[in-house]
Amino acid sequence: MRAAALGSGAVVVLGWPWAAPRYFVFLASLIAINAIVAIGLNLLTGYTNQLSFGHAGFLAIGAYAAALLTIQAPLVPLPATLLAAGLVTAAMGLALGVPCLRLEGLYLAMATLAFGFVVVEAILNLDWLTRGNDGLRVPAARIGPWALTTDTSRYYVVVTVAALLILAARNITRTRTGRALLAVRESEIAAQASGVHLAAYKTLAFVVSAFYTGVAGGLFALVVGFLSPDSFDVFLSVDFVAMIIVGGLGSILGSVMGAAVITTLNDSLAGFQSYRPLVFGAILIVSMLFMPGGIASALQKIQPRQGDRA
Amino acid sequence: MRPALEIDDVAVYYDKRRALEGVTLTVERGEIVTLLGANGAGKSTTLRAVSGLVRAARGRIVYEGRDISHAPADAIVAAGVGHVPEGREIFGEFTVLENLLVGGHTVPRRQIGERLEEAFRLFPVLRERRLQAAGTLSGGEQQMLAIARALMPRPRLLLLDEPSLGLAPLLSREIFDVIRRINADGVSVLLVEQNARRALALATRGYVLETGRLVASGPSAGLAADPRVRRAYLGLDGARRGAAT
Amino acid sequence: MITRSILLFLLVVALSVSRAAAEPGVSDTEIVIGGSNSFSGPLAYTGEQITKFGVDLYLRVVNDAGGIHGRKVRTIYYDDGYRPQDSVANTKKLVEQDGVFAIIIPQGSPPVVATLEYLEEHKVPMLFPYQSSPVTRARRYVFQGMTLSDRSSRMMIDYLAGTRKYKKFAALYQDDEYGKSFLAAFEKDLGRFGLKLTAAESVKRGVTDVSAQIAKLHAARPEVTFLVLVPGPAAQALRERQKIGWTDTLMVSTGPLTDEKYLALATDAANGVEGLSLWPDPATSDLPGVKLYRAYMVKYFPKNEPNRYSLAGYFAGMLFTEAAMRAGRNLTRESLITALESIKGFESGILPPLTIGRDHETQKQGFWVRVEKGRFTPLTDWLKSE
Repeated sequence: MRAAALGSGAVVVLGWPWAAPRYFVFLASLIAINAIVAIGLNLLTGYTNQLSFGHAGFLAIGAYAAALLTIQAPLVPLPATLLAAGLVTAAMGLALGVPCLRLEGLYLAMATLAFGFVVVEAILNLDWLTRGNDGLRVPAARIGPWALTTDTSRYYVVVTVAALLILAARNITRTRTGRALLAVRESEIAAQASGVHLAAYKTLAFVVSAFYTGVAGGLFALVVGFLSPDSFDVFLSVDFVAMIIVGGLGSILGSVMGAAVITTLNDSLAGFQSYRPLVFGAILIVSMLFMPGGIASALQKIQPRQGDRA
Repeated sequence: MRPALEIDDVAVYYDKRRALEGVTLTVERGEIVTLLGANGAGKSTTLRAVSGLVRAARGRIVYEGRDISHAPADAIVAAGVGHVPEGREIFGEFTVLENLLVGGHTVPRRQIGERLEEAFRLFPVLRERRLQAAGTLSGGEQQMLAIARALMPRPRLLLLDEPSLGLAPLLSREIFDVIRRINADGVSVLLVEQNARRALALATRGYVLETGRLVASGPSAGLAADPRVRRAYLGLDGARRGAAT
Repeated sequence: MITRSILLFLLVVALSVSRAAAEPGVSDTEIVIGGSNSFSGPLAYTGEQITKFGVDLYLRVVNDAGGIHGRKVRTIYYDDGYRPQDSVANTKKLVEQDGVFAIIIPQGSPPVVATLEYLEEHKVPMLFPYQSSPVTRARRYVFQGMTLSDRSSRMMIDYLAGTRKYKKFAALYQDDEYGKSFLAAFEKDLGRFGLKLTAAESVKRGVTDVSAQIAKLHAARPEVTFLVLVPGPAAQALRERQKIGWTDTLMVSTGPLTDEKYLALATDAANGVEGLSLWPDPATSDLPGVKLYRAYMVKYFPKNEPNRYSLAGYFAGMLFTEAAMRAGRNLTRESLITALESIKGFESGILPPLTIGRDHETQKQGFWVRVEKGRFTPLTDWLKSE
């Protein structure tokens, strides 16, 4: 049953560009990118109860890091560029995570919100590097002899990276560090009583979350092809939070579903123009009222499986 | 040789609210000591102060002669203090095995296998269920898991918080047997327990807490005979349980 | 489970194969055009006016009169909230899903620039982008909307340094593509008169407190101070100047700034300010085209006040219609471009006779105005920018 579902899922994902209309290939890439961010955010919020309204900032750091690297050093292979984007962003996650340890709930939300604004300001002020408000055009990345100029080629890169990161997140309990991280989500008290250093792991959650988001930022630069501070406004951060709430806190499958729902929703609401925020807000509230545990828990209620940690 | 645990004039505050005030108690090596008291008297807080989950505002906590009052929780675990928290706090979405592995967070990797063997020897049912999600275990099995998890780093002092809570009499007897066996292996035990009768039967000595202060202490037999203890905690003479006067 | 997903898959395949038309966006009965614009975010008002009350106003008139060679024109707009990635997504959706014939009047440099290469690659015309930076110049598939900054600058400097003989200039500019492209053009045009900017102060976008910059500019004692800003900070600059009693300078607003909104914000502090106006006064002008615009506005959108933004959109709709008419019944993207390039001496009744030609620019002239009692009073006829 599970293998069959996985198999048909893989067929759909791999065959998608050959079957779906072209625009949906691009849209699917955006969904995969947002899913990576949502997983990253869920590692922080769902697992260690640290709420962040600043993930657009992390996405921006990853995106600009990857874009600048592609421009300055076009010979660096794409996987290395994405890794670098992730690592640079992870370092920022560490820098933000340590001072945020003392903060909880609303105060943490405010601090991360402020972080998002600071990143946008920094992009504006470093205009000799980032071209500020004018925006930065990202040249097509290359993998060996191939330039990634089509939506399809970029789609395959994005889903490959997303699959690897989903796999890593799902297997996180196989490592001592990953288990400790998840243990903090399950019970802070028991985790501490087991000798898990709470502060270290909460900071680690920031770092890992930022890494995921930074890699997603690199893919964002690749897929969108143009960056400007306007790309990374606070509403994007709110969208990410909406994804994990709609999808389900602490759930990897839920993160992916939440990213799919919110991205598609945003896309289909673009035509509602000035009513967009209103409609979006209403849908969010309704789904939170009637699906408090997100899609993941709603699915589990329909189809309960023992020991599934999807 | 210094006692397993010495708590000296410890006070704990949650924000401004007093939870413990001037508590002093000792657990000798190899001893089982029980801590009695009504809900909110400060029993769990005492255990949490020892394992570093809350900080004492005043006083000293000494483990085997080492002052651990200011040590971080992970260092206290590594030093040999195990804590089975109130409500068991198992990692419900983890498998039994993963729960034990988190318990062994401070254990060197090459010793993990041997520690798991010990746990499974002590609780054979956990071996059967090792790949099952811990949240699907029965209450008794969850309690065993919580104890087994705390034993992974081979503690020399075990803090047990209400191990029989919510368990059927037969099961709680089983848990108490386990505690006795652990103690027989040389582990000192500080036991918080709502079933005062059973706790006093198991412990050599006991302390009674009321609203954060110690009000009585002594050998179990003596406490069991104390009319106040009888009335308040042993449910005798028709008094309401937990309503200390 | 497998059968279900394979069925779904086949359905998607069937759907995708079935859409294949001769010229995208053009059918026997309809022409579909569209654009990504700001309907939320900082420029939502402008976005709504140029599209729904501008382009659509003119196209309703056209459709009610029978359409273009028997085809009605339908518009699709998507909101990007000024975010480049959303404008990329919207534009792809318009081209690939909705199959629009052309993109019309997208707004703002970042969202527009983000879609440039994509549209060129797919040979989709981008008509009249509402932004003034020259980054969109000299591209086969782009026809400029708003007067580009270097043309504005030429008209302004020629008039002020040439006709009015001013010598000492300073600028307060927004620190982005809009501001910097004007700054560069000013320097170049002043150079032709052997002059240069005495002082230049920048304002970060979104900042409204400009007192420090005004104080510095005051200290430089320029005869003319350019305001290359958006309405909020520009009004703030005027009030600040009034507050410190700085009277011996002529404040001059750039083309994109010279609008009613900025006047309303600045109130009496705007008196005496001059500027380059790119449009005749939408509320009071007696030009036949502007009167007609107001009459149509009353007819179709009686609750919407006439304004420069909807007038700009209305003009864009008019130019599109003119070109599509010229291209004839066999309308293609290439024939539209040829038709636009062929427009010569076109009388809109709003702007002076327009010749587009190879430069793809649709707005090359402005005229000088001074603010008197809260309105723009013309001081000159249309100025030349060639």
